[in-house]
Amino acid sequence: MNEILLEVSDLKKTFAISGGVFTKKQTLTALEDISFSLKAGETLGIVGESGCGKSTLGRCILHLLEPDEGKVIWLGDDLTKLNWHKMRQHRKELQIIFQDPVASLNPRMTVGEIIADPLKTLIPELKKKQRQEKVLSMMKSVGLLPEMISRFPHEFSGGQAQRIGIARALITNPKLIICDEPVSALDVSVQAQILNLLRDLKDKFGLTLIFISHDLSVVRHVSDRIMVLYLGRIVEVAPSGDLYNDPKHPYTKALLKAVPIPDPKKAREKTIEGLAGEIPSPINPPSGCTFRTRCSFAEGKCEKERPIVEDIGRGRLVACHRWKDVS
Amino acid sequence: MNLLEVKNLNVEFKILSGRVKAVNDISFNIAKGETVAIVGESGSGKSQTVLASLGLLSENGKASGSVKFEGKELLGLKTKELNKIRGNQISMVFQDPMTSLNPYIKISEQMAEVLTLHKGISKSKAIKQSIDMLDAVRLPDAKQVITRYPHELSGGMRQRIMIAIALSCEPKILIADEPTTALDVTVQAQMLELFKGLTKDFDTSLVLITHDLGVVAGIADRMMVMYGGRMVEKGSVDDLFYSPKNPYTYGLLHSTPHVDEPEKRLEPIDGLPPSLENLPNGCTFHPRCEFRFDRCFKESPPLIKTSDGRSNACFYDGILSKKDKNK
Repeated sequence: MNEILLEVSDLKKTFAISGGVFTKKQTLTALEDISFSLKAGETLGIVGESGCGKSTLGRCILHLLEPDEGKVIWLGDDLTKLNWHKMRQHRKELQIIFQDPVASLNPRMTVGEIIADPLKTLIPELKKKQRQEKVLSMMKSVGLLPEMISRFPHEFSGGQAQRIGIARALITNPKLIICDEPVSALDVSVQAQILNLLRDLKDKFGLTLIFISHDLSVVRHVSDRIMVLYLGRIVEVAPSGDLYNDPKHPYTKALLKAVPIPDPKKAREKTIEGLAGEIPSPINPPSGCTFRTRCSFAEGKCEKERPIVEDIGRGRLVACHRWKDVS
Repeated sequence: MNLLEVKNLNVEFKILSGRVKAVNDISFNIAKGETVAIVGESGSGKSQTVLASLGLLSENGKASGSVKFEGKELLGLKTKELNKIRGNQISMVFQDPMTSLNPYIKISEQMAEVLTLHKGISKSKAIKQSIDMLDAVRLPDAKQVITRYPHELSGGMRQRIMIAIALSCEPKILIADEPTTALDVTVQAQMLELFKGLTKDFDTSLVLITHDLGVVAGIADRMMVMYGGRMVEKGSVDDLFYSPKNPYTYGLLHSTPHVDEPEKRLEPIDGLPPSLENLPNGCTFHPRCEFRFDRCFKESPPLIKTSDGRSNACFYDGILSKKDKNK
């Protein structure tokens, strides 16, 4: 139906951890074997706990970090192979919204300058007046008042600052926006405003979104399809409803069980089969399936063989030797 | 029997531009063995309420009113006297497990200190008891862990240690200020189960300060909702979740995404939480309220107790529903 905008294949990213005087250098594998594609108009949610590589993935796609291996094909061009100059031409199509709304705005620039900045650098041929018009119309779209244009970021609360960040991301008419925990720093009542805003803007501008978050309730709310990561690897990909109603991977299942439900009766009925233990260190991940140390389904095979990401039909992928026994 | 009785508590801070009222005329009781949640967004005064009760305000802060613990007035008590109660009869777990422990001191020392100080037992005995307490909070391998430094442990382990320290003198009241906010969702679920079990095992009253309604639903018996330094609604968790009477409580519930419900549009509260320096006249919530009328602009609604044991501070007495808002 829709064209494929983005295709990521076999992406791998490692970080070197410099050793001290007596310790040797180590490598941390932040991402491994990440492959997926994204259709125009789709919202892909990426969830996982801290250290699962979700932010690194977002940054690798935008080439803000250079992946070690793999391809990021954006409308036919492999972004990992492009030089700085050519990448720049794509920048206006690919934008990002950051987690900390206030810290991600330059405190010495006015709101107008912040929002106009991408236009100045990426579409320099635009005249000053056109730029001003675009900024004002974008401010209106994200719910900022025109008189705010000459104010500075510190005068704004988190929710409003995030609106500025969204306006800055949208001003170049991008096709894809990567939202990296865009509402985590916001109060609940304001979080809902921003989620609704993102949804409206998506329809208005025909955007494709990658929505990165640790909060499964929020991700479910915005995504068409969801990818679950654990220790830098894909554990499951499924359409949003299917993932929540019928999780195939033991980790997804445990993760969903752990999410608190804001409904006292349901919350009391729910038995939390707490996932034992904590996330292992990505410097020294377990052999085979990285989840096996916390998995109640783990068996001998899981220790020896890493499960491949298997296509099980109906748009679902799962990486587990025993997924058939799980559900 | 009420363990803690807070009456007409006010907290004021001196700042450069004058005075700020962070807590405004708050009264509540905590009975033995119950779990009470204080809910509110940033700046609502929820943390300052308990900090003031324990004499832990920062230097520019001043509390007035009355806070009685087992009939004994805590406000204005000398630090020496207060220290006999704090950490002993009433103890506290803070939000950030990373910074609440002293990085220079071994866990064993930090844990033993509480017991040698309050119970006057020998250090070796204190360490032995601490190990038992770590077992009680289900920290695996307690004997090993206690010999380490905080940086060697994960966030979940540190938070368990904080809880163990807080519980080691078998306090009558445990106050937890956003105890799971900094943790991953699977670890959060473990912590909440732990709190539930411990309050039962030790018959401790738990005061839980949080912004997360999901956490409240699963653990609390009663809840108090704060906004702009005032208490706006108080009652059993079921009453407030299923039939909120205050428009703010109602708005908060409708802003919260549910993980177990399919995508639906959230109904956020318009506007932003107020700045304490510049609180609106009349009801502090009126600029954001859909149900406001003339009176709300001029008068601040008092918290009124109704026959069914709940309290509400609002002049509007109609049905809270989006359909009625334009009446």
